[in-house]
Amino acid sequence: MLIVDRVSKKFNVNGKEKIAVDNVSVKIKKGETVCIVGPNGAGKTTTVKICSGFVSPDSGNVYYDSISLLNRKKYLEKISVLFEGIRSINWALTPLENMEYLSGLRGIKKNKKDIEKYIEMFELGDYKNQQCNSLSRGNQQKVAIACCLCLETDAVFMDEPTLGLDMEISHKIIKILKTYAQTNKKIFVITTHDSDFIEEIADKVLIIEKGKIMFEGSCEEFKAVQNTNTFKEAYLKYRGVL
Amino acid sequence: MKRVITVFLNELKYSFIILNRYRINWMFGLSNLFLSVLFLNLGIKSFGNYVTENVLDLKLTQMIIGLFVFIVIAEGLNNIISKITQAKQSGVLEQIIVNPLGSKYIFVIKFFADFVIVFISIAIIIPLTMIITSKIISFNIYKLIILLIPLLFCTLGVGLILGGATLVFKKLQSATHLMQFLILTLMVIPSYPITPYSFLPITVESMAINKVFSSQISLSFGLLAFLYAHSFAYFILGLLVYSKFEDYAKTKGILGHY
Repeated sequence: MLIVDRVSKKFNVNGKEKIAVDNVSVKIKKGETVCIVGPNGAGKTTTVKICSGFVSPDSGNVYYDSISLLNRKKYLEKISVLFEGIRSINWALTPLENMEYLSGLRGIKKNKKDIEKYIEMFELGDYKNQQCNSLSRGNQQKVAIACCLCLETDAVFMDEPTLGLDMEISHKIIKILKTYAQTNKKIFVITTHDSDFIEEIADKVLIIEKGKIMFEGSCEEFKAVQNTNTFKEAYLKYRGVL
Repeated sequence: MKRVITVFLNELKYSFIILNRYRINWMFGLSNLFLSVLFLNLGIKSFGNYVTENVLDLKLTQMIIGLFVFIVIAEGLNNIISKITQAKQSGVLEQIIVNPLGSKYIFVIKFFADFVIVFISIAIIIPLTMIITSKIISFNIYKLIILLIPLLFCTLGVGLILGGATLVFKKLQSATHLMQFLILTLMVIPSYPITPYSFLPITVESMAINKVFSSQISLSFGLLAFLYAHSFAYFILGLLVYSKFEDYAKTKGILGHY
């Protein structure tokens, strides 16, 4: 289980103190996919970055199966991240090489068969030996996600994995992630603005505003509270836009 | 240890893949260096008209050794700083920061993997330089390794300090072109026999290689002890300073911003 325990973080922006994460606590079970939703600047990415040891919290702690974030080496063994999407792969390398390289960077020696499994999963077979700089944005994103998943860690943190992708690619990625999460019983923590993504994949939704969790529950519960049929409507209604 | 070896071999493999993929860039880099040596040699030869043959011989020897030391330091520093900056400009830095081995150790491993490539460049440039200058220097390989280790660790220490600083001060990268002048200054500062300048980074390590291989001094136990203590002190300082910069960037949340 991933436990986020009373985590807070402030930043100094142009001389003014800004609360990015305010006393956030949440428990995420193995096999659960959690989507973090909220307006821009709400603290979604900072929360995920704290959970992945990329930003230090001012207070509070994060645990994975009682391993504290402070026990950095052991904690980081359990997680993988994808913050920058296509920017986190090496464009001079092919999809196959990227997966092998990023696994090797963590000291994991992957054989070709292991990597081919992810190539197949993401339908990258036709491009596996093509340098990533010549791939489409959608395929580059698939490579980035495949690199993250092929590390086979217990928890995966992703920041807007379908950002800027067309509907078709986005839909494919959602399907792949859903199948992967259900089959492998991994924890997924994903920030997103994509309502289809949330409806398809989220076991739990966290709505964050000004660093605080305003809602924690399933997508269905949120829709019921807002008395709407879709998550998009529910969220817009909640935000007072609809 | 097994994991460190896997990371090292992985880095080495991909350094070669990238080198092969961009071999034209690498060859142009080597050609630039080669032309600089050619002109430097012409300069020394014309200067040689006014000095005795012994002085000219010494100057040529020092130029070749100096070139070797300069390539090791400049490429070493450049590799570590540019690796950090490139990783930061792309999103790969995140993968390095969240690496269970720790980012500073990943950069140390990358440094040594890159040095293998640097050594290949040196193995091409130095013999060519010897042919142009008609000055053949016999390098005692054991002596070279013994003297190269402190130079590498000291360079790595300085690289980690500067690389760590680029995590916090983003514009530092644009000042790195001035670095070669700093290296040259540190290389020529009189640092042997031991003076206060000897405590500056790189000074005594580069001076020792130059003076030992141009037969101006012999390698004593005292000198070696000082070299190793000096270089490892800078290496440890580099690791500590890098960690401080990384912690500061994590606290301020500026690690991934570029």
